[in-house]
Amino acid sequence: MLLPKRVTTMLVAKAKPALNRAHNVVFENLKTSSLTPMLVAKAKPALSLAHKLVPTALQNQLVLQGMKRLAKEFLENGEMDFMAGKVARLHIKDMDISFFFTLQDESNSPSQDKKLIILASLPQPPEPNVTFSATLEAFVLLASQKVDPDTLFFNRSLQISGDTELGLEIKNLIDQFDIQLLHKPVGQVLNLWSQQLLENQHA
Amino acid sequence: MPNTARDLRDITSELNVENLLEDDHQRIDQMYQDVLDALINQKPPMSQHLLFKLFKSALLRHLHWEEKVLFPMYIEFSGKQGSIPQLHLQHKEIMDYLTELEEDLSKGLEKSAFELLGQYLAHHNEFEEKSLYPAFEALDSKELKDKLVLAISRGFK
Repeated sequence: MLLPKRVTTMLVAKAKPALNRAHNVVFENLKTSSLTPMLVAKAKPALSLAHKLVPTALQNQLVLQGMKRLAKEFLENGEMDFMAGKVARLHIKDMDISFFFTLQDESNSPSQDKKLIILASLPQPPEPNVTFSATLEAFVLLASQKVDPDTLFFNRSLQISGDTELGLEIKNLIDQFDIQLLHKPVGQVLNLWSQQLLENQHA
Repeated sequence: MPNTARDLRDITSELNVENLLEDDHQRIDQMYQDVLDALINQKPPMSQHLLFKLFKSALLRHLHWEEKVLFPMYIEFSGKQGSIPQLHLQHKEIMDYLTELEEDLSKGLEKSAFELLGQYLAHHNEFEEKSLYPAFEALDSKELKDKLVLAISRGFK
């Protein structure tokens, strides 16, 4: 059944705040809910399953969109030019999932035109210049900024191999990311998840 | 070599912690590179072991000197801990790396495992150079510098 455009527009306009409210209620309740530890415990198998079922291109897009939001200011200011033509691999070792990032190398273009991309379409994974390897839990703590990259690296939860200088530059860059730039639901999930992981560690 | 008190004063007035310690970092870096080259070029295991032992002994000596001389001196002069608790933990991890490598030494050094230690050391040096050395410089104490020169001349040679 087709609704008149005016009605559809009105419904969409009403639906967005309603969804936001529902979303906030769910997250507020989850903060104190006994469901949270169970959800966190099931997160890894659920993500493993999703990794097998969801097309790679879509997974890459989701990761890339988050990364682009965090890196936008640095890309625009040319502070990520050191990545041009270099490949950084992010390796979730307990799930054996890798994402390969690079900055499109257009040597004649100004920094603003450079684009962070995931090398997804290549049949063979490229040889990375640097690899950041950690468990899913360590990456969640890193992404939520509950634990800084130095702490994770120095307690050996995060391993960096390959080009030392590049590794240092990326590690220092990650430290400057503003997590508030992520979509609110993503930030909330990370926050809840990492909080639970820290509670598990201290239990 | 300074042979008068004035020479020593002249030298210490120009010294800073960064220069004093970077030399030793570079010396250890070179020894690390020697081991890595031996692994890359598949030198005989005996030669790899010997180079590793030399590197390990120089590194442990450096860590020991920092733990026993440099850190206490900083705490004494500044009255603060600063980044020292973190540096203690990093030193412990470095020693754990060395122990693990040594346990596997009979089977031959694994290049990738050795390179992980190299990465750790590079990041540790950067952390130390960013956190501790400027804190030392900020103290700007001639007495501290004199003590450091004396301690380094005894400790690193």
